[in-house]
Amino acid sequence: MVDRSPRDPALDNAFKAEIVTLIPHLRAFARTLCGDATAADDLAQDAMMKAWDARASFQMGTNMKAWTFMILRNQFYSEKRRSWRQSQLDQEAAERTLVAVDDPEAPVALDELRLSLGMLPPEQREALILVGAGGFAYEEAAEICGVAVGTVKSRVSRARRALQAILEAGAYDRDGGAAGDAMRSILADAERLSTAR
Amino acid sequence: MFDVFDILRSGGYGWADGTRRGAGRLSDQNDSKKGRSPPERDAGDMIEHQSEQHSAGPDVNAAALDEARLRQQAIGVRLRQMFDEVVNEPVPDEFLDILRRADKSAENG
Repeated sequence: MVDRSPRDPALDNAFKAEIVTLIPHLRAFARTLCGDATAADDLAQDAMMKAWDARASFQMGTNMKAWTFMILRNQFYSEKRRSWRQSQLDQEAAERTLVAVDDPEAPVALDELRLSLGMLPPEQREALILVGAGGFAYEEAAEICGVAVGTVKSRVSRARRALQAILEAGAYDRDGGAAGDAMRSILADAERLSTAR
Repeated sequence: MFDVFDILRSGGYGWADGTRRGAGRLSDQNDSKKGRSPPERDAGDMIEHQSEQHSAGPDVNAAALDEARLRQQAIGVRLRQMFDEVVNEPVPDEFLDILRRADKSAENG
């Protein structure tokens, strides 16, 4: 499985240097899959180790981000198969995590987006996250998810429509209060972030 | 809830591209001294202008499409923000520790 032939230490170092830059992205993707921040970091660490163990099969210079995301995603679904019952609780755990935001200054409206995302079918959610937030092309997302490009396109488009419908219906709403103000603050932040890109 | 999209539609934000960019630029200039552009001020006026425009014009469908596109943009920006929020968190030491240990075992094995 793992290539036992001696590896060039320079190659290992290059691999490590690149995977270190991907850790924040792996954590973010894991968080969207797990919801629970601790479980997400466990998943990201497992994926990182799996990638390291399989480094001999990775061709330096090709897309390591897509490769590691694919590993993380496979890891997530294989764990999920092993413990289906536990995964049923993911949603509740996610909602608890989302209500108790890590950063007390984080705008409330982000929670509403997270809760709305949580209502999408998982395959639509991951397609939208990969393309809409992760910065992957449809082709890359298709490779990560192991489906056809057209499938990803239709998942993303259905996810976008569904998300908009959920947000507009306020179906995510917990108390219905001051949502507008929260939206204003989130938009101000969104603007700052989008111009920083 | 719909305020989000009203603000967007008002063009008060640079990333709400399309036909109504002018108003956004103006407000950007006015607020540039403070470094931030509060959306509330110009938004009301612009929304009124636009609803007149929409109901009077023959291109109601085009306007609706425009609006749908802007809503999708708003969602997209927030989606990226949600993701980037985690990306920008400091990486827990555990991750680097694990990698360091893996490195050692690779040397030994």
